[in-house]
Amino acid sequence: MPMRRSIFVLLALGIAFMMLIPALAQEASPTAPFVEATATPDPNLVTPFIEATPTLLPDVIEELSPEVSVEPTATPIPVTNEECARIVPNASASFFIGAGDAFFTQQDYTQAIRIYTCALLTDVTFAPAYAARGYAYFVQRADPEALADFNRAIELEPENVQAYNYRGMLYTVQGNFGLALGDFTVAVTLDPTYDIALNNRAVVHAAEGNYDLARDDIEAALALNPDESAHYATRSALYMALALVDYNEYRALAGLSAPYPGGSPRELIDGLQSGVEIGSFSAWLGFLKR
Amino acid sequence: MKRSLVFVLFIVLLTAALPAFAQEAAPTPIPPICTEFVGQPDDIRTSYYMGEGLGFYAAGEYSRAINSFTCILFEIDDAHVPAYMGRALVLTQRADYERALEDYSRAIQLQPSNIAAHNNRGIVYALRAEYEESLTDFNEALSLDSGFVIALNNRAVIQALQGQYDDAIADLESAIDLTGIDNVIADFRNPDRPQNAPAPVYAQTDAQPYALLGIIYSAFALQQYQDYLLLTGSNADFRVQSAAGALESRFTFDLRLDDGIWLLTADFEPEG
Repeated sequence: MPMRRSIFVLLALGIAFMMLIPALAQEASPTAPFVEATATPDPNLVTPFIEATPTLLPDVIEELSPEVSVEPTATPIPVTNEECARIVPNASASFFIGAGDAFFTQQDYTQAIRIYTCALLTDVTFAPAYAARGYAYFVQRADPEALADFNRAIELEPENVQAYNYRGMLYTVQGNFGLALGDFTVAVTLDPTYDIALNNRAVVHAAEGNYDLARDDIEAALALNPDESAHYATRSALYMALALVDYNEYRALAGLSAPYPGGSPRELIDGLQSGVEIGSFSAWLGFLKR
Repeated sequence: MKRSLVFVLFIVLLTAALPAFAQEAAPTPIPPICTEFVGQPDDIRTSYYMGEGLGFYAAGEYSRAINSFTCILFEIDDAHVPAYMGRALVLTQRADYERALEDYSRAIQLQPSNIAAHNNRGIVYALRAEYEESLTDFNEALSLDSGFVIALNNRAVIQALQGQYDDAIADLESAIDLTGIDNVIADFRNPDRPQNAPAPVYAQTDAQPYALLGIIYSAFALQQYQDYLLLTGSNADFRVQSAAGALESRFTFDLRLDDGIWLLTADFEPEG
């Protein structure tokens, strides 16, 4: 019985947690790869990028220090200085992060990784670029590459709370709850207003069955940012997990054959929902006790 | 009687004031959502949003691209010319010409020597069929840089649209001379050119004057055919009738110069 309950709880929390992963990826729509978009003449005149001809790639390529080496990954996506210069010559690392984020939002993760890599070719010490690229790897479950990038981001910028949060998410998905809690705790220690890390730590606490700790964290996250929808998803999952604890306790005490007053848990949720919608309290009546 | 007069006066005053009320009721611009690199130096944030804006633009996400450029102008620097240029490009793509003109005009106000802004605003005027304003902008771009081939091409299109074929041809021939693209043609056509010779390097846009010259000479040809058909009436040679019909059809559809697709945008080089 406890085993079954744990599976149920983990499933509910897992769903809530996975909702957070594509937080940046809001809409799926077909996209043209960045470089290709520059090469295709736009019928409506507007082509902001430089034409992809060798004549328009002057000394910029040399200026981008070809000697720099980007942290090796198991399956690197090859990107050259020339390709990066073709997007915009002499662009800064933060420019490429912005462009990469645009493609990430389109769920074009491969192209996003290419452009984040351009940021690293531009500035091999720019921690936010490692964090951004690592997250794109993480979303594609390229865990070793993601971990290498998060580690490098933290090494370069030990106070990069986003990198701790991302690495904590990776550890959580891998089931390394201890390491995940460590990272989320570092993140909220460095930035006590970082509600997302609190949310994520609540998820890990809940996944471990530590509901009181989970409740403290998610309430703190909501107090910091009541407009973040993910917090309500997490808290609702937590309440469902707590409900299951009492539901199973009821069944253990009343016996497996005893009917639950509200019907099955699913029927009860449906009844409560329709009660909210139509202003009916009937779902509660079965719980009256003489 | 006196009360009626006061009432009429009140109505007149109210009517006169209506436009003012209407102006006040104009929608307030929606503030952009700019949550990235908060607290970081302005140059990093500006660069980020330029990248994001151009990335969204390349992906066809125009609303988001506008948001990105607006982040720069709204939160960081309301005089950042590349952000106005970028947003104007997106607005042009969305056929929001009014706002595109506003952004290009602001860019020109901030940076009067910005050739790309003059050229691109000329394009927007052309898309609105405001050819005089368009010519003024292309002329201004060329006065800033007489070797700006893109503006020569664009001005030629407008001149052709206004029937000034000789001026258009002169501009296009100047463009060919400036780029030296005729030497590339000579290289390609050289019978002694080795098969494995490296391809000559040139910009695709440099070939544009040849397309435009072809269109203009075709227009001349059509005019000649029509003169012939006018003189010969029903006795006209059917081959010429057919050629004239085909050309007329082309000028009605795919070769018409007033739909904007023959205009070239400037080499707007966004700052990174």
